[in-house]
Amino acid sequence: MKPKIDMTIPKRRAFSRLIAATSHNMTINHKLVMIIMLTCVATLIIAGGTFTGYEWNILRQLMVMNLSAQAETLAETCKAAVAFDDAEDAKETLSSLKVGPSIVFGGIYDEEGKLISAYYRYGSDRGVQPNSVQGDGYRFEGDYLTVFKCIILDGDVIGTVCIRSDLEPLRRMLFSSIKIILIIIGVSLLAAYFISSRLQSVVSQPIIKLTELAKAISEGKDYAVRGVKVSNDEIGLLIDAFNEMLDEIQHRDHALVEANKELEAKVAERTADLEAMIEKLNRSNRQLQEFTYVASHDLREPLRKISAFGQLLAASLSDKLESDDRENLDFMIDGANRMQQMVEALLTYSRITTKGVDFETIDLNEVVKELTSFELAVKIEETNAAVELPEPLHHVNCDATQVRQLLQNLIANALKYQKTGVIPKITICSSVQDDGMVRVEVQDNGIGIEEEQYNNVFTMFRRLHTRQEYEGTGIGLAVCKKIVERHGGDIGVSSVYRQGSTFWFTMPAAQEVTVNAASQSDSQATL
Amino acid sequence: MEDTKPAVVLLVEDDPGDQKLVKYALRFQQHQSNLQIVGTGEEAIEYLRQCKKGDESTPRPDIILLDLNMPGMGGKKFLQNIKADDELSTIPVVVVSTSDEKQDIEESYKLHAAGYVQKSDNLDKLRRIIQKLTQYWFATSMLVKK
Repeated sequence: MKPKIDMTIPKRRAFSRLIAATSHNMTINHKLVMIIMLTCVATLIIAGGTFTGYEWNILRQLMVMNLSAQAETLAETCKAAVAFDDAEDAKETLSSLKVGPSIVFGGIYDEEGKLISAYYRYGSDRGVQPNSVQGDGYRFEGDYLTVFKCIILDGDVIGTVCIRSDLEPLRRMLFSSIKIILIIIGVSLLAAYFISSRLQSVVSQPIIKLTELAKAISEGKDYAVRGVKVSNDEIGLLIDAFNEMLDEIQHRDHALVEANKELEAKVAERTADLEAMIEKLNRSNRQLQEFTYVASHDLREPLRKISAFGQLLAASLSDKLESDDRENLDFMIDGANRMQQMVEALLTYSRITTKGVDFETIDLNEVVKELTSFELAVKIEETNAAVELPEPLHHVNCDATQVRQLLQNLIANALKYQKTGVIPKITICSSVQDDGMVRVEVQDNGIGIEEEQYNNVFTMFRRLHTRQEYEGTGIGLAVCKKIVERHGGDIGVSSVYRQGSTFWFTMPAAQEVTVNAASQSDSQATL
Repeated sequence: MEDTKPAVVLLVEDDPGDQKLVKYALRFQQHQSNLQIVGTGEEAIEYLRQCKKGDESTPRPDIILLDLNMPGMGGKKFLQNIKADDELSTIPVVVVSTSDEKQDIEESYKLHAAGYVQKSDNLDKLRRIIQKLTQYWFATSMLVKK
């Protein structure tokens, strides 16, 4: 498993994690704009809030000062009215409060706090009158600011003036300033968005370029390209590191390609060597086969002459020769005849490879039937032999002439190698093997073969018996072996000495017939 | 009425040994034969050209025994030539060859050979086959002559 570096944000930065989570699928420039905008919004709200709070405070102070000044003026002008307890005069003095649109109540109290005269903006009390009177000062109660001022005459407090104003103008001013602040915030945000959208590319562009480069490299596998460094910050360092990594990859890639080329060249060289060697072997094999064929073919001609003219000579000299000379001539003719048989057999052997034809589907039952009716008919009749097929044989895919030769040789051998006086019994059967080959067995009740001779019987010119015992050239089973090998099969023998032999061989099964045989065995299994 | 005129056999064979063996095979023949021997296909063509002219020394053959493997034009080429000649194409040509190759046998029959005999190592066998074949074709050619 590849080691991975943890790039997540530490747990305690919950807000950062929240932002990271919500912006998971955003592009980096959108992320940057979002972060800048969030920052701007936060700072502007804090600034706006602080300013609004400050302004609220200032406005309140101004209102207190303004109202206090009015109360002080009123306290000065109503001194006489209070001193003489003149309610009418006091009322007149209070009527000057009408000019202040937000003043809802004005009252003049005597030193005990009893109301001498009052001014109501709306004509009556309607709950605007303060519940209690106090010394110099002010208080904010509910929606009102109430200011008290003592009336002092000759150093003695003779009464109190009270003015109460509602906070409506204060609110209006606050709202309008909040409005202005909001407009400023809005415009600022727009400006911030506009500027950040353009300036974020300073940070994001090199990263985006680097990402595109990495993507192009991973898709195009071109490790020769490099990122362009535009700044000396962390991104610049990242591009440097990326380029270094590319250098390293390109270097390795190059080395790998070189090694691969070298390996391919070596493989090609070895393959060429091998091919040349195979070609050479094939050529010498072909030459050998050609030689065998040509030699045996051309040897027949002079041999035939020796044999024919020997016979001619023997006929014309029959009554002129001494018996010893006659015997010598016979030996000569016999030798020539035998050599001719061997050359003939050798020719047959070499024809297996030089004159072989393409494979076709062959019905072995037909082949056996024809062999026993024609080629082997005389021998079978002479020996009174029985050739039996307990079950129909499987079809095979082979060279028709060669499989005929193969079966002919095996059956002929079974007929030939018999104890005198025994009637030959030959059984031929076949089975389909797991590897798709048909195994054919030719079983006889003949003289059998000792186990140590099993392999020797397939060797060319190797004979186990004298010619006096059994005629033959010692090439028949070598021909069989070569035929089977050409078909990619095997050949072998098992035997009980003096009781009989079983020669077997394998041949490729005919495709369609194998299927039939398989389905037959299936249907038998279900029965 | 017995025809006493000997049948003419033209043997096209380059090997002196085989010439002698065929001569031997024809010796014990019921029907007397006039054996003419040429060594190559070219010589055989020349012989037949003379024979067309009516030359006494080159009588028209009743049967041709032809070897396949000969120097020069060879047996098959000769066979092809003679079968292409309208006047000569009726002469039966029996191939007598060492070869038992399927290809040689098939090609010979395709070129309208009247028979194919493999030169056997067994002298008696060869003699029997040649005698039977020549007798058959002699009888046929006699019918044509009548």
